[in-house]
Amino acid sequence: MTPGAREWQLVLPLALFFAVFVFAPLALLGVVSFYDDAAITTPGVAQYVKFLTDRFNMAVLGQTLWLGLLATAGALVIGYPLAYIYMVAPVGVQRVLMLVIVLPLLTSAVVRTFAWVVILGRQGIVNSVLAAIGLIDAPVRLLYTPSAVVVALAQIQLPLMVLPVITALGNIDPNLRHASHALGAGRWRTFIEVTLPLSAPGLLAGCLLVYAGSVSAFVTQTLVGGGQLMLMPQYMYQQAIQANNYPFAAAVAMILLAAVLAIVIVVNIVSRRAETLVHG
Amino acid sequence: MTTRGVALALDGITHRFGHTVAVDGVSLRVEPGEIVALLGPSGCGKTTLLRIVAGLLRQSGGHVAVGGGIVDALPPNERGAGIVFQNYALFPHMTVEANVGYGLRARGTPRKDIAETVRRMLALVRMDGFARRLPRQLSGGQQQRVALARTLAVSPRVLLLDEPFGALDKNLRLDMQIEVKRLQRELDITTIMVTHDQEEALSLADRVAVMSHGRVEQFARPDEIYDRPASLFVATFVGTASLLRGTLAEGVTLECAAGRLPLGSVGAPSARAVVLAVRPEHLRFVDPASAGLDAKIELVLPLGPLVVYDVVLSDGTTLKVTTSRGAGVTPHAPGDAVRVALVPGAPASVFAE
Amino acid sequence: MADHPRARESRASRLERWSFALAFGIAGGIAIVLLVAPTLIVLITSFTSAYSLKFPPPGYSARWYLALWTDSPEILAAAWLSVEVAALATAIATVLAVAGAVALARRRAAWARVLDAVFMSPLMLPTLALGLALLVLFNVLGRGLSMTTLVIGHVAICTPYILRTTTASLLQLDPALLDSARSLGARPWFTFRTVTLPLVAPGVAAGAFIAFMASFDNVAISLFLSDARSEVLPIRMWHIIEANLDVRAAAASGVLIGAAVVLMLLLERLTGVSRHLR
Repeated sequence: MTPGAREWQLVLPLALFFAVFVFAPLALLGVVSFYDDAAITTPGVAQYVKFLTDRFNMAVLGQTLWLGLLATAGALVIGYPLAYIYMVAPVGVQRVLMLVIVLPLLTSAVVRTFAWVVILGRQGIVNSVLAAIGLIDAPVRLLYTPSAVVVALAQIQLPLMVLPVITALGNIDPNLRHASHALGAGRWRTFIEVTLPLSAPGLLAGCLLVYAGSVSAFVTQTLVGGGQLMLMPQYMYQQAIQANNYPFAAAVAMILLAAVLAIVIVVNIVSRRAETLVHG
Repeated sequence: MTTRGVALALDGITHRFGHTVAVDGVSLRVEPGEIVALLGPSGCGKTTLLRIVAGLLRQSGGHVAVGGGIVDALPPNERGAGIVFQNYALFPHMTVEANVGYGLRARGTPRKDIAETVRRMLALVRMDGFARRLPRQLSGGQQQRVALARTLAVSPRVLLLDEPFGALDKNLRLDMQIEVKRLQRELDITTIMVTHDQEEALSLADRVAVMSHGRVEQFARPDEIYDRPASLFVATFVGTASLLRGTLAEGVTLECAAGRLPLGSVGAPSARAVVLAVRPEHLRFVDPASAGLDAKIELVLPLGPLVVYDVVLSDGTTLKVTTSRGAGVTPHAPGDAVRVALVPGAPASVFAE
Repeated sequence: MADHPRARESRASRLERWSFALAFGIAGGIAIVLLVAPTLIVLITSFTSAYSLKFPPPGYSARWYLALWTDSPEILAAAWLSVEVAALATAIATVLAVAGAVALARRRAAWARVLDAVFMSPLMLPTLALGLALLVLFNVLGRGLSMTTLVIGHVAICTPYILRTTTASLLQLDPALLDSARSLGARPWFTFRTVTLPLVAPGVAAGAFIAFMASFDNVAISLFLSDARSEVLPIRMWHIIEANLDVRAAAASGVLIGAAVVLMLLLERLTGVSRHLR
């Protein structure tokens, strides 16, 4: 159906805005990344070559994606059960749970990360508890480690995993579970053969959101990871603002974008096939 | 097939949702191999009762016994009650054969036996050749047959059907009803069917339990339900009935505002104020000399081999009268004055007010 | 029936049931604790009487909240700037997004789906890259950083939220209502004003609320588009935390958490916001 004149008028402002302030800048960034020097005089692919051949650079990329993956796995393992519990809880409990799940989304990443700084700090609760039960003599360094970053990321991104899974579970016909039980299947089999596959679209959406959020979580990575741990977002910032090397920073940004976009596309394809199987 | 009919007994089943009583002291005994219909309007508790029997719901009070043993403590996966849902609940992400074999897989049946049983079941419901299809590629009737095959594959002791034909087109309905009845007879499996469609209940079931507000109003064979309704609710819910209010005189005549109507013998209820529920086909027009009620014809509706008359009595009460359209019979016209009486020997249901 | 034998659930079945409930209960319980504990810990720490973030606090006092109010002009200025930017960005984004949603809702054509994906992309893609890209753009255009450039960046991240909730509301709108209005002689703008807008208003409001909070809390865009003189609150707090773990950061966090709770409860009561966050 061809768009009428009115549709064009309505969507034009938004489309124009995105063209000028989203598409154009990103394209420009791409262009800038194809210059060989920081002064932006000679075009070339030197930045990408530099990134992809340098061990340090590849380690930065690798570690960013790896930590993102771990955080996603962590969020999945505890987030899915939480969504499941929400679905079987009575209505009053559901209301409270929903507020608990949603509230973090409305508070800044800075605040949520700050909580982890407090928890994992030298005088934080973990160290206090460990010292109180006599497990350690001196405070252990918990902050500024990759593990701390993974744990913090998994917790901070948790609502993004839980909400799509809740939606997906809600779309499953309850009679399917009843039918499975009546046919003789127990809880575990019903979950593995019926519930889990049918919740795949939501599960994939959740994983995607957590992954995309985790690899670009500048605040958490810098506050919990500290200066020693260099990941893509901070690398990008540092190269642009501190080193003033815009082409390289642009290349880093483009690579990060590509890494996320690749996963988005893959998940979308898989999710679409899962959707048709589930909904038909 | 190792299915042999078992008896099913419900003893004082009560269930409350919060403050609402959904099922109120229901006791029934279903004989082995029998097909019983739970008939009633929505909200009468029939689906709740079915779910209780399946074990999907734990009743607030009372006992369910299958084959002589009380099964209250058994979860649905151990109860042996196969249930087919109104929307069939086929697993959308599994093929037909995976669906039908699901219960067998859950029991750890060897793969070869599963394949064999699935093949047999599909042949039984005449769906062989559809094994590799997905549920969304099937029509409503086909889905129902697969759902039946899936349930029967695990040889349930009792078969439970929840509004099985509600989602089907009218044309398909009769075919599926015959199919289900055939299967039920062939397998001799005790069956409970929930429906709000009285034609369905009266034609398919061996016995019908008419329910209202969580209670069983009458549990009897279809012809008894129709001819000798046990309560006013049953009389008006099943089939059409016109109601006449009045008092009983000498147990054989109804005195009401519009006149006196001879009833023939009637089991005299204890109260004097009564309601008479009478079926349209049990009324007829008589000549002015005979005893009966004066009425005027309002509407005439020819309905195939019958003519339905809507008549009004002198006090405003309306009655429906049905007569057959024979060759020598001239139908009345709207506006005619007539006299209405009971067909001799027709059952008259009189209830205390 | 009392004399009938009672069948008992098999041990295997009971074990199976309990193991399932236990596994999910524990995992879910951990999730709930993890969701709530950090927030609680921050709140408790903000009331410490000490100068450090020691937990549990040695004593309790509201001094840091007081210090926030009386002794932290730069934090208050940052907060005010954040409010201004968020309000402006949300307002502009609402107009753009609602218009876009009306145009795109219910359309199955390919161009509509593509546009929809494009408009929702800021939710998925690293907005950090967008921040850098905008910085480059403004540099190339010769415009220095200012409130305007900052707001522009924030509008980009606000629109997806409002677009999503408005589209959802529009999809729930019964098309028969619009057809009835049309057959009664109402013109498109009149119908929009009197029928569509009032009915999707809760969805729009929910989206605007989420967008406002997203803008207020945003770091990625502000990181590149704030100029040195004026910082938004999240960036200011980030600097404070990074530099010296000032306890005032805890107090500021406490205020923000409190505000978020109050606002959320209020809007949940008014519009059922939580439905739209799914």
